Amino acid sequence: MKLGVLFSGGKDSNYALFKSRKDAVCLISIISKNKESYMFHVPNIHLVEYQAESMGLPLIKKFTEGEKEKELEDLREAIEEAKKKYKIEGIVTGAVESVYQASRIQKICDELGLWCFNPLWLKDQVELLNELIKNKFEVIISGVFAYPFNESWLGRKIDEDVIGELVELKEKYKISISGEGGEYESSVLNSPMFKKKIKVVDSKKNWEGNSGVLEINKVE
Amino acid sequence: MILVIDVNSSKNKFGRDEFVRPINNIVKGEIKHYSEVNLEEAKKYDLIIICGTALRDNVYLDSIEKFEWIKEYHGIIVGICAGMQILGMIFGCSLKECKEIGMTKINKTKENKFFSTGFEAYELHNYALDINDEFEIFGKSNKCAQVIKHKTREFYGFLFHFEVRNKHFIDGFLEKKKG
Repeated sequence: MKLGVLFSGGKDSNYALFKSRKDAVCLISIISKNKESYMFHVPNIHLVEYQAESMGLPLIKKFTEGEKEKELEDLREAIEEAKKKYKIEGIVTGAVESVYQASRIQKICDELGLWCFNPLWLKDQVELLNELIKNKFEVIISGVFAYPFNESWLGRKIDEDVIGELVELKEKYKISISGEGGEYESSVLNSPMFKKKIKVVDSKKNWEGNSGVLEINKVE
Repeated sequence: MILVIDVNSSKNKFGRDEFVRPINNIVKGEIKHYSEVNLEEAKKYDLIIICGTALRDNVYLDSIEKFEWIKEYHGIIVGICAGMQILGMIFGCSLKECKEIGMTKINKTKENKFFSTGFEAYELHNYALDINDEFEIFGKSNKCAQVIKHKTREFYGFLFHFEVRNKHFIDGFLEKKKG
């Protein structure tokens, strides 16, 4: 079955792609101008182009203003394009717990007559991060948006130490370990599917109040 | 012992990941595909959970006879979504088209041990049951029956996915099993 993968460049969509790699024929990315989007990943979304190139997968990219229901229409158009161009029969998402995202994507797939697969759905969050490490994904934290995260988290590679700290933060502050509640966003620099690792050569930390983004300006 | 039954077809590539594993993470039972389960097998377990499927995966509807063992089983059965549909159909209920996707309000229609007031639940189905006299209805959405119990047996159906946002619904069954 040919599948299109909703792809943000973060850890969850990359891992969902890895799980569906035998059937994945294209990536679909939505570039949202709305930094507060509940639907789409925003920090360093431009990395999807480098990731797609490194994996040799075609990328369907669509821009959206990020207005609440209009962004869903933009997503629907992108999925329709994938259906026409690559004859996909289903969509894969990296949704873990977000009912908001999952139900909206389910509805779009239903309307378009497509399967909707969520291979990470309700997966144990520590197990998910450990599987990324075990499978040699190189993931950095590229945005943090909640207390008690601070600037020092930006750019940190997700490893066993980071997982341990996230578990402690969960116990103390009830954060989502996988960042599913929007506490943090991640960017993948290498995975078993990449032919070439992405190397960050220029980046800048932008910090304001309790949140910040690692702005990746140049990669090679 | 607890058996968690996978109702997904082979076309539903991630069905077990999405609809079965999350349940088994809660109950820590054994997972088997419905094609492997008969009465002899079912009798080894005192609680059986029949899980749901993807929206487009309705292959189980062509194999309802595979679940005839339910009539002779005397433990507890919990059917979730497709599992509830199977439970109802085995006892003569018919299916009707009824699509619900996402969070939906469930209203209490009869006193029961699961909930005392209305609540929100996650739905993902194209069909619902026309409930017959074999069952009592504990809760309904605006469109269809959501929580049912067989009148004389310990067989329960939940059309919504309680593993999403309503995990506590399984607690009573686990306690009952322990006790």
